[in-house]
Amino acid sequence: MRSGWDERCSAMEKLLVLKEVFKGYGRPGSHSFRPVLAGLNWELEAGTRTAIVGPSGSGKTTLLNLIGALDRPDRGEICFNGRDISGYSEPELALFRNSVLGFVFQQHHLLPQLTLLENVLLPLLATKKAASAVERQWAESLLHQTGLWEQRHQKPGELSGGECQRTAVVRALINKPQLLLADEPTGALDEKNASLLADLLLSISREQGLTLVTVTHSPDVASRMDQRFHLRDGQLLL
Amino acid sequence: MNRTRMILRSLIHYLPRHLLVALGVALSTAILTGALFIGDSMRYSLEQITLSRLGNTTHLLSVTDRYFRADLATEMNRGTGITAVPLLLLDGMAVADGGENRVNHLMVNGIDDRFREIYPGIPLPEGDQVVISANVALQLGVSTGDPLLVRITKATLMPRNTPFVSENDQTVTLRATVAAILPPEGAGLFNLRNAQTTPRNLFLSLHRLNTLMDLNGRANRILFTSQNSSLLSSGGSMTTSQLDSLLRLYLTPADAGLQIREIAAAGEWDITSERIFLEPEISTAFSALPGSRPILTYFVNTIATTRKEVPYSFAASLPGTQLAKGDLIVNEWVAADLEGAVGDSVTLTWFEIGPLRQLEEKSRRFRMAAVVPLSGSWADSTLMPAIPGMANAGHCREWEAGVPIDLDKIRPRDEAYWNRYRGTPKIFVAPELAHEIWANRFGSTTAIRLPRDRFSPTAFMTTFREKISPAALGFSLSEVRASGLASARGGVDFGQLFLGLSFFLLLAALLLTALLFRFNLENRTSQVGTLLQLGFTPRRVTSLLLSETALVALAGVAAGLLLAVGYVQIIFSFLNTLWWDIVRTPVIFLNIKSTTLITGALVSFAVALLSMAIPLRKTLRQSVADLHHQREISSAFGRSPLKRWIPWLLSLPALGLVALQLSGLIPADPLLFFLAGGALLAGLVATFSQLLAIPAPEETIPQRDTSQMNPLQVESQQMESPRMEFPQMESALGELPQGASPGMTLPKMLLRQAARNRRRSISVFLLFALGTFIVVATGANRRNLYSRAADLSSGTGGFTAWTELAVPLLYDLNDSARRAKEGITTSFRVVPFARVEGDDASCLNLHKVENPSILGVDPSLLEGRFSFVSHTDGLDPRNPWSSLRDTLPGDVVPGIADQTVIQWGLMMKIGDTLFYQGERGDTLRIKLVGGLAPSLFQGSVLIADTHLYRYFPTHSGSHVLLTQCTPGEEETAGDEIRDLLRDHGIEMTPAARRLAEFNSVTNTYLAIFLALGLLGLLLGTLGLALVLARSVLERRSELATLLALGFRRNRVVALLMGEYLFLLTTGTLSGFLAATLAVIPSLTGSHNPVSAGNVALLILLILVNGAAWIFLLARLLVTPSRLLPALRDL
Repeated sequence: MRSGWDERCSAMEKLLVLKEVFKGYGRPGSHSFRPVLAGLNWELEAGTRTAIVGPSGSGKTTLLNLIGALDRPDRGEICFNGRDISGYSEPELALFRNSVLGFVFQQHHLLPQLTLLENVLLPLLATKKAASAVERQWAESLLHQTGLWEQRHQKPGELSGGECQRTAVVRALINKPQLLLADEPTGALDEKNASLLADLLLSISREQGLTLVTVTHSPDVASRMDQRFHLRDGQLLL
Repeated sequence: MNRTRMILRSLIHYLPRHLLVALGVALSTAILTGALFIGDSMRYSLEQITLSRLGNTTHLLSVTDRYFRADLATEMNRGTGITAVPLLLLDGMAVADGGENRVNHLMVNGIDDRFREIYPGIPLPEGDQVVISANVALQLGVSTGDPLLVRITKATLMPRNTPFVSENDQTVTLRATVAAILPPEGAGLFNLRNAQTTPRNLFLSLHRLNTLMDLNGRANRILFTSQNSSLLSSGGSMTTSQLDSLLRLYLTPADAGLQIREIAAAGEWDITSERIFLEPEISTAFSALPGSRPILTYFVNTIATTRKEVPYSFAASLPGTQLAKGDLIVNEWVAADLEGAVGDSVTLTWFEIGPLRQLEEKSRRFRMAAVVPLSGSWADSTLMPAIPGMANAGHCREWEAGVPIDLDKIRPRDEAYWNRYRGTPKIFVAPELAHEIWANRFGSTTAIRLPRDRFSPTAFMTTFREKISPAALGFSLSEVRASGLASARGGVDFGQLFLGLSFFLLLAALLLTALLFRFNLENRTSQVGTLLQLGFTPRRVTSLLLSETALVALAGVAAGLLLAVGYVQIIFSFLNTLWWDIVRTPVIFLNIKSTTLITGALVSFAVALLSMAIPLRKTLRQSVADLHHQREISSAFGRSPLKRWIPWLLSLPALGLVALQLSGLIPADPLLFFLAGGALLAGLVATFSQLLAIPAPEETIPQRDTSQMNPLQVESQQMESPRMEFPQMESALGELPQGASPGMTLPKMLLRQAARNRRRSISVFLLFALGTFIVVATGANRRNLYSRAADLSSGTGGFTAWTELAVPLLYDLNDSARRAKEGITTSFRVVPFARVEGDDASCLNLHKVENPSILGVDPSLLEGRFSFVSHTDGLDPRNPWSSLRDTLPGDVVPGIADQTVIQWGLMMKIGDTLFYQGERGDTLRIKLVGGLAPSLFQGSVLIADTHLYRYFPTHSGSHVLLTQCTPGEEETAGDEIRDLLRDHGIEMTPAARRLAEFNSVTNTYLAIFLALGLLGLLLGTLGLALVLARSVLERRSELATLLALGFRRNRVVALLMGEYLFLLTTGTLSGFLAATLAVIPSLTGSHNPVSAGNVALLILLILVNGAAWIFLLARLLVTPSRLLPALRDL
């Protein structure tokens, strides 16, 4: 089954393809079961900037978790760059998340015990013991670009919300991912910082040819993306 | 930036929380390693006590009821490099202050300057000076220079109850002066028995002691040590077989009490014994020589015809003749006295003497076969044995023959015979007949005659050394140092004991550690999710977190090792005070072995790490998304059909097992009841866990209708926050919200609340259930026998008192004639016991015992008394004691002992066999056929008196008495017995008190278990407090909402208290239920009544303590000022 789907995946030119994806919560068949995604089909081109909007509880975060390999669908297939990831083992998914994806959440989720620079370099330790000089240079470059270089030795508790969220973005880019997923990245920021962060995401996406998918409640952020999809009744609608 | 840096950063950042976890680890390390340290220390202490009590002694030569030449030690020392130190060891008692202060069981040691090879520097007493140990001085209230009266058991060259040996003068008195007092170390602890209790020692000059005993240079022990110190420290190349060879080389007939003299008139050598009767092996060896004539001479009461009688004469066997068994030969003096002639019928009467000098007069009729002249070989006065009390008597009326002599019967004629012919035998009988009627347990020969021309003193020595083994004479060589150390090392393992006793405390500490770690982990769940999301594999995350945790555990273990030393010191202080009963020695050294330190550290580290790895592993099983968003999803535990059956699989067999035992279908066994209780406890815990796994109904929270809103309104107005549950609201409002599930009751609500964090709730439930189970089971087993002391089936056997004598009682105190003679007026019955000394196998001795003391008794005197808890198939349950008379296949003797002694003192089981060396080198095999419920006999093994005398034939008198008094006469009878036996060093203990003393050991163990268990419950209460505090912290918003909505603070506090009281009460009651099942034998048994008051008090304490903490914390934490700010964070 998997090898057949791999063949189909490899024939597709899209960066990301979701086919007949189902996902629900609770015990299937019981009163408590709640379906969230019901046979969702979706294709994403590389290099695009996409916003996903929808009412509360529609499954936006669920969808992002599936794409981001943080969760597995109940049924259906997810194909990334010609490879089926829905059947990956845990170590394979971990490597996938580390090398292919970048993730930015509403909460920055920086480790409070590490400095800004250490937080940025953290993803590198998933596969190696220490950052190389090249990687450190890349991190330095990103921090300069985002205006965080001076604060590199400070800890998250000493930074503002906006600075923390920008750091989270830099962390998501450290491994030069192909796809950047952002779940309500501006949700915890004020209007000014939200706008700055949105600008940052878009500029990085354009400069590095990075595909960007963002879940947002902000009409301003949504309007600045190339395309917008509504998630309703378990389906993505343009 | 590298992983090590990351780990260290996390460690420092979360240091305060880690310190709490480290504290938990330190506690568990202290408990676990502390227990091991206690084991090492006690073992070391017992070893040190062994080394102290033996000094430089490595081997020991001992002998039973015999006194050899002290010069034997000198001869064995000659040129061998082995130092042999003679010792004369006797029992005694001491009195001071005009009799006000007494010490009844004193070890009187006669020593000379060679004893300094054993204890360098020991003060040597001279003349009437004595050196005593500190405990003796304390008990007597004497100091250096003070006088005291010492009464010492008289050392006699013949066994005390040898026929015709007087029982008078059993003790010798010495008015002594205290020359020095020995501290409780070194020689002050001198003891050749394996025991940790401090002995009561008195030392005096060997020469003086010999003089007192009318002996000349005698000893009954030789202590061996080596002048070569390397041999001493390594255990040396000196072995018992080497010593045995040396002993055979130097042992002489004189050491065996044998003597040879020439009887010129008869042209014979005469071999006799100081012991009156020659031991069978000696008799056999010399009787086999060519020309030997074994002779048995006996004291007869009368020689009579129908007309006349001759009183009190000696009769001898006549070897080498063809005399028929029914014939006898009289000398002319008798013939004239009886006016008899050949062919006349003559009746002999004599006393047959029992073990306790019971006299049974026997008689037999003979035919006068011949009359011989009173001259030549027929007038041989040397045929009379050298019976003290008779041999040197000037007149017949001075005889002290150990049997009643009617002086009125002695005529001047008899006195004239005595004056001229002394004990010359008046009659002669066939050897076979003499053997048949006069042979006794002491021997069947009083002399052996050998032709002068075919024997010599040299041949005497040669025959003795070649034919007679030292073991046959009761000489025994032992590696006393090696066996003593082995006994010390093999005894009660205090390490395992304290591990067991503190198992619940350890469990509580580990659960607390796991709980604290889990709290930390919960705070970092999103971090774990972040790391996984960033591409760290679960294994990598585990490695990072466990590395951090390992450093915490390491710190905790290091602190715990230090704490362990303090813990051990605290335990030792209790062992020296409150818990004295289980050690009974002040000599306890702290000894920490490096191997134990490392083992304890490693095990503690591993256990701590495991207690933290398990929650971590469970956390990592959740999906990355759930972790990242800090959602805890309850596991599917309890929902699988198989797991639903677990409570039934545990509880039903437990109840079934109990029912089967109560109905008698299977034999009742306390262990099975305990297991059943444990299984029920596990079943109740599983039931509680199952109840918490029942999923909550979905429809209790109403859904908002958003169908009429535009998407942006929906998006902007709805928050994606975790749904909050307010079961308290439902109860507080008194009605359910619209659409809520009907049937919400208080128990359901409490269960749902507990189910919010199943693991925490189960931890708290388990802590209290297990703690209560242990505490109640322990409390119920505390023994209190005073109320049933009079029962025949109880451990006292219905007897009033247990009496021990330093000087044995040679006669039967039940004998009415004897009582009348002693002026006894009260009516009491006595059961006498002969005792062969051995190691104390009771719970009072911490050493491993291989040869406990043996008590020999007439089994019929114990029938219907005491209770058996186990027995072999061969034991008749209707008359169990009578089985002691049997001889089992293989010449094995049945024995009975306390079951606890069999199991824990001897580390054996019913059906096993004990081996002893008999007095004559033969092997006594005692098969344990019956195990008693805890009784007065703890420490000894019981066999029939007949069997005891068979293997220890020269054993004389009773050292132990059980008395039963008429109700109301106990005090009077006790006084009479004490007065009568004062000079025997009597120690009389009420039977119930003696039993209580043994039970004090068990009760002390239980008290320790209880104390540590209660400490564990205290830790459990701390865990409960932490869980409550944590819960309030996590539910701040929820509780704040209630306050904001107008609920009174007391109402909210009451709701919170209700949740935790629910856990406390259900846990405690579950533990109590299970414990009740476990202790049914104590509830229903006659010999172990349960202390219901103690149990109720314990339950109350647990509940009140827990409730108090819940109340205090709830009131402290649920305040508007603490909670309302949480509403801003919503």
